[in-house]
Amino acid sequence: MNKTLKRNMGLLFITPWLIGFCVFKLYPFASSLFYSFTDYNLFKGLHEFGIMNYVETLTKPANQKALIVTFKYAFMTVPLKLIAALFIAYILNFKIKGVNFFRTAYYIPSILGGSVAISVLWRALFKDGGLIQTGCALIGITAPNFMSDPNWALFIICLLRVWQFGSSMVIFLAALKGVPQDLYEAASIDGAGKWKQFFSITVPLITPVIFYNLVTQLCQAFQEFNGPYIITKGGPRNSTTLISLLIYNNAFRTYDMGLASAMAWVLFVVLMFFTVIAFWSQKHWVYYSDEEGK
Amino acid sequence: MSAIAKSATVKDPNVAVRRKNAISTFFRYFILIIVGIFMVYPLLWMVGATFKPNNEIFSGIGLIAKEPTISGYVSSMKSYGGDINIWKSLLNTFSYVIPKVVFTIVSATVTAYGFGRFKFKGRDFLFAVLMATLFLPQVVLNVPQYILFNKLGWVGSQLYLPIIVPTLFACDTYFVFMLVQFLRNIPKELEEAAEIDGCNPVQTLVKIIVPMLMPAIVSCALFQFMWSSNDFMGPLLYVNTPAKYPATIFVKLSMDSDSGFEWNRVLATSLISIMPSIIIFFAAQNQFVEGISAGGVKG
Amino acid sequence: MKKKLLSVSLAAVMALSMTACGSTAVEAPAETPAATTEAAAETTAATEAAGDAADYEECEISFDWWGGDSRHEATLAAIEAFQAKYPGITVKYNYGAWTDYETARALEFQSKTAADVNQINFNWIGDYDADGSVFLDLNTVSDTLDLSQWGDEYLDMMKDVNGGLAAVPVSMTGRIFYWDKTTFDEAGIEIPKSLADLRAAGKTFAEKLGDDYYPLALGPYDRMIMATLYLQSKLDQPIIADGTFNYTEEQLKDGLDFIQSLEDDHVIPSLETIDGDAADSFDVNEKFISGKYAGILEWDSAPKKYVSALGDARELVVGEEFTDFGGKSTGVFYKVSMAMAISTTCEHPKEAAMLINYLLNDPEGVAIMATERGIPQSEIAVKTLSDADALDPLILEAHNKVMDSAAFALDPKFEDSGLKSTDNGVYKDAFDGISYGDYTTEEAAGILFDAFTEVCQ
Repeated sequence: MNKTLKRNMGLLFITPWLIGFCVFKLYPFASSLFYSFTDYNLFKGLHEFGIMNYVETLTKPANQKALIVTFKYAFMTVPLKLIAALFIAYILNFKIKGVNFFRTAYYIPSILGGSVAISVLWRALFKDGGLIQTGCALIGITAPNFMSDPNWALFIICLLRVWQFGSSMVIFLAALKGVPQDLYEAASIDGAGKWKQFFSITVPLITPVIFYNLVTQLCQAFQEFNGPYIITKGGPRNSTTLISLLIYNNAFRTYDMGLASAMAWVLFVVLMFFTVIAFWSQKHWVYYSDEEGK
Repeated sequence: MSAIAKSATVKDPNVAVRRKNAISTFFRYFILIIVGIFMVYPLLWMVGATFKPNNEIFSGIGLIAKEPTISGYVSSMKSYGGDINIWKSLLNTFSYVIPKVVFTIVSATVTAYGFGRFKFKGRDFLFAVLMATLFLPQVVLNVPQYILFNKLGWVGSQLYLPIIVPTLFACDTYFVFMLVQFLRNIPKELEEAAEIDGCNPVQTLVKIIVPMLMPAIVSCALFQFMWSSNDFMGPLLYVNTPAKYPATIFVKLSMDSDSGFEWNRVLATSLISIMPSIIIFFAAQNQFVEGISAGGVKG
Repeated sequence: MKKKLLSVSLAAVMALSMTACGSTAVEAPAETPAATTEAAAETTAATEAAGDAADYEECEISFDWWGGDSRHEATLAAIEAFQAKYPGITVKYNYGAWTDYETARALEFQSKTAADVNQINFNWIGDYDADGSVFLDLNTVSDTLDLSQWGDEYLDMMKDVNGGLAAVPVSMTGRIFYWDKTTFDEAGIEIPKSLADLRAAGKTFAEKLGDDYYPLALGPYDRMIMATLYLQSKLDQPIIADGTFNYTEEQLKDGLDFIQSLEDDHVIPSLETIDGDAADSFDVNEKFISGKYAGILEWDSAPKKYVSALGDARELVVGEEFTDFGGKSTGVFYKVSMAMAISTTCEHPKEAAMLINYLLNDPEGVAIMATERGIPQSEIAVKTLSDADALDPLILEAHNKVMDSAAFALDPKFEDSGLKSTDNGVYKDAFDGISYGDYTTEEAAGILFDAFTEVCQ
């Protein structure tokens, strides 16, 4: 076949994606930057241009709080989730009987966790007089009122996400299986204990996967919506109002599209910053084997 | 003497090692079981609670109902908000999830084929753009997309246009990325042979690539099914008519309304709403595991 | 092998989902009686078409409303009767609880996909119909909808920016106390008739029944209303009149201090306590249902859902408006409780108007709806119901008490969605802030004052 034709064929195959990208991603992305500099309200229209939305996003206490809460949420859930996932994957990687059973048990929350049904369940668990309080009372502990205590509410939202560590665990498990056994054998001949082996052989070898999980989890954490929307409605005292919920409230409760767009852009810049940091830092800690270097 | 001493020194480490192994094995299972209980207990409790009378649900932490009842299920069948009940809302869910799944695998396969098997001007740049959109948060796009769909008159569409149409254009880039990863590991010899036999690229795609990619395509379909059935924000914004509500919104609706809080009804409704996902998960869990591992490990 | 397993399981799933389809199809007629009547109605329409003189088109109109279970049931019955009376008109309906209802409808108004007939709140005209293009001027259908049943002063409240009549008021309403008499009996005291009684009850409840019993429960918006009653009484002027905010920051602070004193005296639970109940409103709150919250301050049109939530075991009674807030009047206000509007996108405005007229002015429809949307404002409806002795005694008592003691009309600006929103509204922020200890009443007064000033610009 002739080469130019084949070249065009390639373009032809990606054309649907290219159209979709321009219409449903690029255009909205660019227009949101435009809206963020306007006072566009869904019901009142557009009257003014300026940076007032950014000023409001960054200076109003409620908005600052949402940013802080989002950071807290992300930096609590992501490390906890990754550590839990890696730890359990590490244990499962020993010759465990019934590994498939455990893998299923750990993985199922990840599959269902994002659904509204599980958020409803979470309410039943953590409400005043809910399952957790009842359980604590049985062993003589007075549990706090998770849903209404601003210090605890964010914790239960985090827990919902950490509970879904199964998907990261499965990825880690696959990576651990790929670590050559002879490396461990060599290390144990040298007298290295299991923990030493873990930190000096396992972790360095799976850094690409740790990196992948880190970046994807970070992206997800900054966008969490269902949990706070359904379980706590952002309360009490906005202690669970993550930035994505705040964006929703501004856009679809008070219809302030301009302000919501500005907040989305602030979120985007923050997320970009962390992603860039992560990518930049990977040359210092992520180890790629020769044939698959990035 | 020396022989005994020798055998003791040989034996002792063995015993110690064995004991040490036994202890660490014990601890491994111990941890796995404890953590496993935390993972699964809430779900089992949920199933149990749907069979309990309302006054029993929070009176203890047991799984099994003392006075089993199906009243929760009976009242969860109730239609609410006009022309909607749990079954109808599940059908509504399927009525956009299935097109979404089909469109996604077709468009993502075609796009992945284009990127994975052809060299053209700007390919690397466009692929970088595609990768970048993986990191573009949906939250940033929600507002302008809503304005766009509103201008197009698609908001409240009876055909779920804002939810379905983007999948025709491979907008869920994650799946393209996953398929490209798979495609890399598929040898090109067969395609070259097919080309020599006179197959055009479309025939090659259909006859050679798709069969070889099938496991990956199945994974994509499964994940898209799960994620789309769980999606809450999309229908929340774009579906306004109760008769068209999917299960996710129906569950929220039935949780908010109704006099008296009947937890067994609410939990039963919730459980029914995730039954399709649970069934599919158990039927195809290996595909899930392979799919998700492939995305991460080979990336 | 794996593939085979998958295909088998997929087949199983498909088979399951098909049985699901099958069962719905079988159940459908039983579950939606409207559908069967619709079919029946069509056949009668066909046979009787020649003899039927009524001048309307056969068509489908849609109707949306919010409310509790009892309102839904009555409205569904009224729709069936309407369809029987006017064969050939099919009414499609949607209903829901208040939570999230407003957002969904607002987005529909915006995208011009709203139902033909809408039950609306009185601030929606200003909020969602800023240019007068969303709701139809009902003067254009006055042949069908009898507007003479409403006094001009009430219709004037429903004007849009262009002077068109955007809606007709269904009823007027104000807030009044309802008490769970059973709990007060358990505490061995009378239901409170004054603020002093209420404060005393708080103390008695804590001593006799326990710390988790409160004579009154107020959410953030209820607190704002209670503060408003207190201030309107004390200052003898409405909080907002003709779009102007009338109070100073100090006066607001006084109102907030008053509310906080109720919380401190164990009269009302803290908002933290209420948040912990994980219920969106009191009628679904287990503590209200079990009598631990023994009083609410609610719209006079709303008691039915609380009565049905309490069931037979507990008795809900209407209280008295308090006269001891420290001023001449009770401070009570009234407002349009809800209104009926037709969307401009409606293709059959005449038939839509027929539905509204049936619900609000036709003795037959009025009798079915009874007081499910409050005591009607339409004169013929009131007459019909009182002649038939069909006015719900509880609602009538509440309504009369409110209207007898009402001193002021409530300005729609008071219910501006930025102030009132249960998610990110200013009322919620201010009252939560005080109750959780984040704000002093002085700070909260400042926040409220700024918000009122902005809304009333």
